[in-house]
Amino acid sequence: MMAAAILCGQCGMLLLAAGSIRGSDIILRRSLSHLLRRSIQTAGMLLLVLSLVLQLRAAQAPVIALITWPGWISIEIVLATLACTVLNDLRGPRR
Amino acid sequence: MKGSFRVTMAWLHSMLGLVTGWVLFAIALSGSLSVFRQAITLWMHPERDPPRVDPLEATSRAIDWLAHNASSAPAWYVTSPTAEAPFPTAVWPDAQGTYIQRILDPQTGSPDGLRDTLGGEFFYRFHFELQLPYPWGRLIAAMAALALVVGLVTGIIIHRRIFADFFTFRPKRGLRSWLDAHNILGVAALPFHLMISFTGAVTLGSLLLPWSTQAVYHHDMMASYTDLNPALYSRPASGQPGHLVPIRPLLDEADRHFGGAGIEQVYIFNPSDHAALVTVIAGNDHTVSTTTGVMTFDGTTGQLINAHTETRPVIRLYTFLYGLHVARFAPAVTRWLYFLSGLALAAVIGSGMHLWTLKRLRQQPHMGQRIVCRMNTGILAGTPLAFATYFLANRLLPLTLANRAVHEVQTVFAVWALGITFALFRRPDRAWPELLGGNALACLAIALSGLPWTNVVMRGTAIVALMLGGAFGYAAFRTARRA
Repeated sequence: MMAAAILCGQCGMLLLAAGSIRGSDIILRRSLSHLLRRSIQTAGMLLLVLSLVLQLRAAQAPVIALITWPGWISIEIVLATLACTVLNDLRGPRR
Repeated sequence: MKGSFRVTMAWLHSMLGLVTGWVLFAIALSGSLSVFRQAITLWMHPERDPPRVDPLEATSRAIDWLAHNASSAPAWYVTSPTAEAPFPTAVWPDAQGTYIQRILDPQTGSPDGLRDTLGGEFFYRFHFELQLPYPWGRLIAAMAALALVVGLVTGIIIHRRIFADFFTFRPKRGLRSWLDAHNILGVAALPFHLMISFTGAVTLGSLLLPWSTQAVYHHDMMASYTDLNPALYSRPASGQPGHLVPIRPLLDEADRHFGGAGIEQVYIFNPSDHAALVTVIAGNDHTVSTTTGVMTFDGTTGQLINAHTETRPVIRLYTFLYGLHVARFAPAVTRWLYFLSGLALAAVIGSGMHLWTLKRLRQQPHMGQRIVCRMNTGILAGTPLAFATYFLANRLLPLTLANRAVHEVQTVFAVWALGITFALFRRPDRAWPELLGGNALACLAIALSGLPWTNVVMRGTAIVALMLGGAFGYAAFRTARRA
């Protein structure tokens, strides 16, 4: 359950990155319409909420899961950022 | 107007960083380490793996040992073993009033055969007392915590492209790379940073805002303590000798009363006097809040004097916030996340300090700026080196050395002073790689000194030390190439 929660969180964060202007350039290699970016970001947010729900269900004490969740989010943000950096380095800046 | 507001906030952010950055960096680093203070204490007692003994039995044996070896002390403070720290810890004042702290063997209750060290307690105490006498260290830490709250809020305000640059780190671009690292680490762990700085300030709030207590209680601080915890009180010694009743039945009664929360601490006041008191404090298993239950017994008759279970909302809110800060509730995963977020906070503070100097060095820096630049080098690279030396001193100092624990702590400050002095008199482009290289070697030595890595604490410490050593080594290599 915890592994699924973390995976959901990381995928959600990557979707949020792909839905940002700079991130869509790096990850998807094209500029997206405003609507499409918003849709990707909404999907990312939903996955983050799902990761929280899964962690709450897996936890013995929900309050501790609520405290732990932002800690996972921090790591997921840093990993998503590093993924963007590595991708940008590998592919070279698009513009 | 908007521009000038942001400029003002930027000035405030820089000034707060400049004034409190050094102390905040040390506080953040020691705070991160103190998340694992029990594990560090275990690492620092490699003589033997402590056997798992019933916590009440181990506490009872520890008190027996104190009765035979510290009977003249006016008070004993015993911390019960837990899953993370399977040994009792005793603190008592000696004849001169100096507090002695020793880890005790859970089977014999004696410190014999265990090296004299403060273990992880040093980092925990340093984190909010800065090794300064009361109240100065706590006051400085409290003001630094408040400055951190303001620094974080002003940082958010001045970070103009907070959403546009959310997933952005551009390496190999000098100042821009440092700013990206500062921003991403600051934003990623922002909820933790805000929580830890706010709860830190609340924890020391009575020092920041003492006037309400003074207005209500005037100078009778004992009355305020009694109101805060009605069952936790002391009384003066009667002068008539007395004998403690067997402790174990009292611990059993308290354990039943606390209903599975366990026992965290036992305080015994006037242990050899007719006015002896035994105060038992509940543990906080699986709850964020710290202490909620206290029972006090007459030490010579064993009669219950008072029992209190905290239900007052304001005090429960305080103990929740305090518990959130000290993370005693935290399971292993949460502990690791606290540790990583704490390191991220230290990195945010360090990168902010480094950014300040990089910006000034691009122009024509004056003498003050050059001194700050060198001090930054000494603090940022010297503090982790000093803390690493504490671990090495634990292994290198002779076991029979008198006041061994004191000498371990002195080693930290000696190396810290040397690191800062070295940075002050050495060109920064040379001092950086040399001090970072020293850090890498110290971390490697810590990993090796835990050989043969027989238990999870030794293995965990070795892995963390090797990873940090690798990071320091890489940083030393990069800075040396640029020099």
